Amino acid sequence: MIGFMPMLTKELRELVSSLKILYIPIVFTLLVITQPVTMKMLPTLLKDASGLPEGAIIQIPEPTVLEVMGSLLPKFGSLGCIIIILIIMGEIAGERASGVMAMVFAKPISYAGYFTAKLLAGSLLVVASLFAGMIISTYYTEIMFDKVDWLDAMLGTLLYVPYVLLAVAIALSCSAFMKSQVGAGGVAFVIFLVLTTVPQYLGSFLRKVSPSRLADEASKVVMGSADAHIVAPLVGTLVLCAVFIGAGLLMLRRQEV
Amino acid sequence: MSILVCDKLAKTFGDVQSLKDVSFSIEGKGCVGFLGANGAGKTTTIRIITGLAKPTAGSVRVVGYDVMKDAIHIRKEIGYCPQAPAFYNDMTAEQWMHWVGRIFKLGKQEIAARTEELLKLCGIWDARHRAIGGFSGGMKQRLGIAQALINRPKLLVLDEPVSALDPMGRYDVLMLIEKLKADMTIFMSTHILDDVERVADHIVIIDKGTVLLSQPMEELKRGYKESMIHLTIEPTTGDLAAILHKEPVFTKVHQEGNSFTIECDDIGAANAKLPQLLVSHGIRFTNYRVAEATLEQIFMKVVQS
Repeated sequence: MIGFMPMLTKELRELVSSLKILYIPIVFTLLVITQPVTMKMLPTLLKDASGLPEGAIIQIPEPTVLEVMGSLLPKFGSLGCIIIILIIMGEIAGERASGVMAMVFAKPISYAGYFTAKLLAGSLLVVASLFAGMIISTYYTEIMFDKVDWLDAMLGTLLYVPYVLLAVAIALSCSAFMKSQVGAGGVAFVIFLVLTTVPQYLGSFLRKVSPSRLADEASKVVMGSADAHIVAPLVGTLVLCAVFIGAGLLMLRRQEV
Repeated sequence: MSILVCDKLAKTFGDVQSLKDVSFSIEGKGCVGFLGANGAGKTTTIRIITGLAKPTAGSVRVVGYDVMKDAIHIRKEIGYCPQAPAFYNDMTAEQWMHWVGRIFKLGKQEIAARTEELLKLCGIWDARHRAIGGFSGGMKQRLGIAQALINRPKLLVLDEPVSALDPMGRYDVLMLIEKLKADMTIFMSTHILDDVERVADHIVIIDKGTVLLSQPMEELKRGYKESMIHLTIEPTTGDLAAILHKEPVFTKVHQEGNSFTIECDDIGAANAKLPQLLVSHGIRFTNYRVAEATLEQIFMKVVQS
């Protein structure tokens, strides 16, 4: 991990100077906050937009606060992970293409130090943005609907973190392997899509440990459900994260600067 | 101890063999000119020396360490500026220098002092607060050299250090190299032979992936020195070129007006014969000089042979 701290401080400084620390939480918040707003406004929107004849009655029961809370994390889902891949895909491939990597690795910085600094900075950004989005959306849900159990909301969000970290690990590994940023993003997206959709068709064990199961269970925790089975998908997702981090490091070592 | 030893380096990219046999050894301080035409293998060799690329075969030892096994240790001892140095463009020159200083684990005060010293030395102190993204190619080259010096390297590797510079910038960098070479070994690749001739103490010539020559500059020039005579004569009716062509001691004769460049294998015999011929044919000369071959002539000779 030689050179980890200078690399990490440089990455964190860059998050601030590029304003990513500001606009990524805003994007994530906008992504999630539309859910309670839409659910609250849905009857009004339908009434105004449907063009039904006068006298027609639309009766839609107002969703409960638990239903709204349970829909927040799925709203983040694929679109959120695409955004994560877009943020991370150029982290290594871009530096290789611009020539900065040659300047960096001519100095006493190890591959592990370089990779983990980027992984940690990217993860911090994504996790902080996820929490920002969830905290603000939960607050609005409470204002618009009813009292929310904040502990469940934050615990569920915390359990969702490995799911977004998997997107970070996949994108960073692809960035270490590919020479083109766009190529890295494309491959990362396909891998993420396969890992989150295919396991549910491959038998009960893989369904139980799949990342998409983790996302479902995390939503249950946000809703305060007592029958969430979190351990197996949590372990499965963390193992996948470790595999991709290891693979990324290996590919970074094997690729010439 | 040798500062740099390359032993039978080879490097293949797919079907293309970029390096075939790169072997040379550099000892002591001074400036080494690493010469070769475009595509000769200079940059590939430098990338292997700095640990940025792996050789297909052979080995490199820098300050006694194997570049494949002790890359991190070697990187603490070297400074490197590539042909087109790239930086984090949102950083200022000062921020970059401080960041590099932290990588080398220098203290805060030392970083500040070295930053000031090196940015002044390289002529970009006034631009220290500007974002590097706005720098010209020449300024980036200067910053590249400044940051390569922050750790007081034993070996400074410069890949085409003056290629992006204007004449003044070139002069400044060459003067800088002249100054620095007393304290370290500078390994400088270039195809601008005039620059090398000014500052280099040792020459390595590479062509088509093979090192053709590795010799101290003085020895090299001595070896090629006494094989040529420059002669300027007064206007005459005699045909000196024809006279010289008849003598086997003179291998080649080039004439430009009244000036002759006469090549020979045995300078002693040529020096004995030529004055005799001039006197016997009543030809007066205004200049008679045993020529010192230029590096360009030596380079062309080595590569073409």
